[in-house]
Amino acid sequence: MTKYIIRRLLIMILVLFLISLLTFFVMRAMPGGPFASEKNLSQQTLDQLAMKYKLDQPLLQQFANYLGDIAIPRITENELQKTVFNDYLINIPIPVIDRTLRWMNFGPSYKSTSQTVNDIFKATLPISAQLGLAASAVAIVIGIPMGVIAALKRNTRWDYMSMGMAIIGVSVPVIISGPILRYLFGVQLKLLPPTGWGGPEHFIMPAFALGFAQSALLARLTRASLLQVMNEDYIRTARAKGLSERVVIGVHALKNALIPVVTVLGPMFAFLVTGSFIAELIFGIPGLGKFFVTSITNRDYPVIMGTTLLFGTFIITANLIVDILYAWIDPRIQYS
Amino acid sequence: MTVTEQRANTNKVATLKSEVVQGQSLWKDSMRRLFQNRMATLGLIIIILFILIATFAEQISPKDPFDQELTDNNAAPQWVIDMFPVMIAKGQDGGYITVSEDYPIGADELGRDLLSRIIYGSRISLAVAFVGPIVALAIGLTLGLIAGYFGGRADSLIMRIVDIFYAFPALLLIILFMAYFRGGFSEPAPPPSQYPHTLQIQGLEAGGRLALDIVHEEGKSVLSKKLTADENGIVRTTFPSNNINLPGVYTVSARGPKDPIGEGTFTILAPSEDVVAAEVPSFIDIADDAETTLVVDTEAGVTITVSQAIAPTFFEKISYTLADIDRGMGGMLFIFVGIGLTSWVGLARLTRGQVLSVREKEYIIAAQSLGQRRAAIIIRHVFPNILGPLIIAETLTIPSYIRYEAFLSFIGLGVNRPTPSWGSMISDGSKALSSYPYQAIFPAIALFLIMFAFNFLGDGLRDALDPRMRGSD
Repeated sequence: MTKYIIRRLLIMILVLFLISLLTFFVMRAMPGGPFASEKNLSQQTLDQLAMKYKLDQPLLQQFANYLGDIAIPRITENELQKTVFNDYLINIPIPVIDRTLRWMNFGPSYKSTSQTVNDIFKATLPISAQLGLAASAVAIVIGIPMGVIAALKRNTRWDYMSMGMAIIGVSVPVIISGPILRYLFGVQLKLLPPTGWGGPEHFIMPAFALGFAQSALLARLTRASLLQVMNEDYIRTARAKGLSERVVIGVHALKNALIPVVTVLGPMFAFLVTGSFIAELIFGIPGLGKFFVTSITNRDYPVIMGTTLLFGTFIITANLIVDILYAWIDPRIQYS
Repeated sequence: MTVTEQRANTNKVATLKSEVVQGQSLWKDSMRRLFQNRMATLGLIIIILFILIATFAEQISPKDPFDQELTDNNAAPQWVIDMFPVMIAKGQDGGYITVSEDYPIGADELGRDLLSRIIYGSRISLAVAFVGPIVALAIGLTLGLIAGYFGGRADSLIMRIVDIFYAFPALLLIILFMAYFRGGFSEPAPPPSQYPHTLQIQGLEAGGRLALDIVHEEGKSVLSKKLTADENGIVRTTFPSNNINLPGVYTVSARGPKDPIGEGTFTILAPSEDVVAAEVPSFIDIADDAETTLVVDTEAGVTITVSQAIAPTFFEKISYTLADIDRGMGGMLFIFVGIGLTSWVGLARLTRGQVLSVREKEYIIAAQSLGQRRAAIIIRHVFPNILGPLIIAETLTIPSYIRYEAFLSFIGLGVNRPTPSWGSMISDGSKALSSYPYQAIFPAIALFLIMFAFNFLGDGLRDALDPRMRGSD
């Protein structure tokens, strides 16, 4: 098991390296640069900007520098003159030698010149994470009960209705539900603010729009899992020893049936945080997804790289956790 | 497609047996079950309707979807205004909507007929729905067959690649690729008259600055630029050749911060007229010199060289050709490529698993012992027996391809404007949702209908082909 986890971590580092390699060179192969859209810049200014951001160095060297800034920890003075070039995400003071260990410098943003990529992460990631959490909550609250009802009332009207709802759910991605919800509750009924971010009232529509499609998947998974568990011997045993149906289902069946459901929650959360571009664009939420889309059109290289790496880490970690959880919960699963 | 979905789909069909293509009675039986499923039948009918709409878009759409009537921008018929109470018709207090019954469901912000654009937009969604799975099948099936049947090194190599792609965030990958395609391949091939000319000045001080001018004898300026020499004392710049298409004498002059560095002339006799794009890079004859360069010697030993126009390189030619095809398809080619690059992974895994389960079956061993070639065994015996579950898996992923296209068009990386796509229409409409809600809502409904139809059909198809799987996921 330990060996398996170590191997997976190594693969994870390799994948992250490949993601950054691919992103870097595809990004740099795009025509136009971060300063091309700004008019009236003389050649001299452009040269100076290129020199300032070290864009005049060979590409490979730039790539190595970038990775070095992120991956290699540095030991520096405690008080660091803060510039956009030396903003580290992780700063750990080392008391004995009176220095600070600094790690993960994602570089400056070329467009928001006073900000570093770390600043952008700090400002936007919590928003995306909150939205992801709220959407996950919506998915769980709708999806799991719907799946349980469908399984318990198998082949009845309830079952058909829940599963029909589930299929409708997966047919309504945010790109459809977003504008409709925003119009209905934001513009027409004026119950909720149509756009923006701030109080809990801003959460409701985007979280619902994002969570509804995921709730459909959860409902189907819960139903299938519960149906399978209901055929197990231990359920028959529980019934045979005269337990009430409520105890049989509540204690014995649900507990086991929810195991596979719980394990998909991690990747689902990762997906909701990283996949909320559309929701953020439709509802005008200043999250990371929105930043990513604009950074691509702006050719803001460090922001593109940073966001891709962050999202990649998020998704890979979530998948890794699921696989480990599976092995831990079900000892029959062998990893080699 | 999320990882969760992908897993669900893979698991879902992994347990299916290959009884799909075993004779007609089973097939008939499955079809009977499919048509008993009312929602699946409804889905099928909707899809057939959309196919008809897409095929006969020219005949049924009331107007040209590209035709702009700027006076009718955001115009809407009365029933749409009644349907969306926030919209107020002109003439009433605070009214801003032009009422026009010319447009069955209204016009967009450029005065184009919304219904016609939705009708034409169905072509994009349907094309993705049918080509997406084919691209994914072509790549995934081939790699999966090789990995599963041959095993050994090919298997571990392919599966490592699959593992790495599996861990890649597909959405980011596809956005990145699309941004690259849209940016890198969007330039049309330049006509030969625009192949750039290079001008090089040698013998300067390293880092020396100069101002460069090229002027035609009649006074037309071709180039006027400030330049800095590199560490070898060389300055290089390009300018489009159509700047020097006038016959006559051109003067090149370079001035330093204080003194003139050098000056020289070259003469264009006549731009030749029958230029073929790739083959004749130069259309310019430079006088009195067989070589196409102009060398000006000055006291300081500075040389100025004007070289021939440069023809596109091999890769540039490929990219121009691809961009031409893509433009011809309204931007669809790169969407297919983008989908293909990211969607084969799950299918390769599934195929490999299926092949592994079939490989040891008696009929394969029988074929092997009869001495059939491996290619024949794969094509005749393995392939038909694993096809069923793969088709079901792909039917279930069609909505995610449709969603990808809508998503890409929404963020402006999908089809080229003004090609109508539901995704870009929803994007445009969302920006004016509080004033003109119908512009986003109607395309959203169309998108919903097609996603819904494919989802119900896929679900029904799976249930029909393997009744034991009913509703399990």
